[in-house]
Amino acid sequence: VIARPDVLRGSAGSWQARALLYTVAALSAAGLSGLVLGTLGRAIDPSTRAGAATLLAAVGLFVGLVRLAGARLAPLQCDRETPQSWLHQGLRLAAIKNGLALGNGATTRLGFWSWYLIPLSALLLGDPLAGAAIYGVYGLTRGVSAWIWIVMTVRAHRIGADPRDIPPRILGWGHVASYVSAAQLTAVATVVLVAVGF
Amino acid sequence: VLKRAPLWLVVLASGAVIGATVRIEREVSGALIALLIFSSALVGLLQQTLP
Repeated sequence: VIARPDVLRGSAGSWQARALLYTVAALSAAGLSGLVLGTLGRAIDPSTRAGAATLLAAVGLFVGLVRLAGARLAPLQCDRETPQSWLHQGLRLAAIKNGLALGNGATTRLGFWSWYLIPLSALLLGDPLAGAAIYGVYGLTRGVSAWIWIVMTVRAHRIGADPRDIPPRILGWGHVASYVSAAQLTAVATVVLVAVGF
Repeated sequence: VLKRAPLWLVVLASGAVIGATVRIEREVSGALIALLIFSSALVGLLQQTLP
């Protein structure tokens, strides 16, 4: 939606306003998700949380190493994009709904096992503020990414390039991203195992 | 796994060193939260490569 020039020139307010709505919605959904998970986590006994963190870190370590070895375990996920039908409800509402869905992430395409670090950290730390910060930063990253796409699209128009070339270029980095994600999962799982588990 | 030993070994060793540092400092939550916040940002960034 953001990369399409016709949408950029759409009539439902400026694209900047829609992008801002998207960013704020993503940040809000993520921050609230972290706050709720942190509050729920606080109700769980600390030793139970530490035990669960150790167990899950062991699973994360295994999954990360498997990927680094070249194999692939598809993550548990809904694996779906946000509905196109939202666009028919108005571009502003679509921007808000997209932001909420992608900011939380759970019902969308996750892509990487490392996504689970976010909700599980928020839950198992048992600290609502820390949960909101961890999840919120994720939402902010997803929200701010819209602006990066817009800037790239606008720049492509300025230099006479085809903005439709941008998505395939970014999608082409998927293979590298998969390894980076596996390395990240392996490293964080090891940190948790050493710091909390042993 | 052995074919890619250097990469996973570096990742494992880095994780172990950071984990041990966090543990020694006895400030598990602060350092761990900082790491997890960075990790969250990285996940969000990597997800931009998803179709």
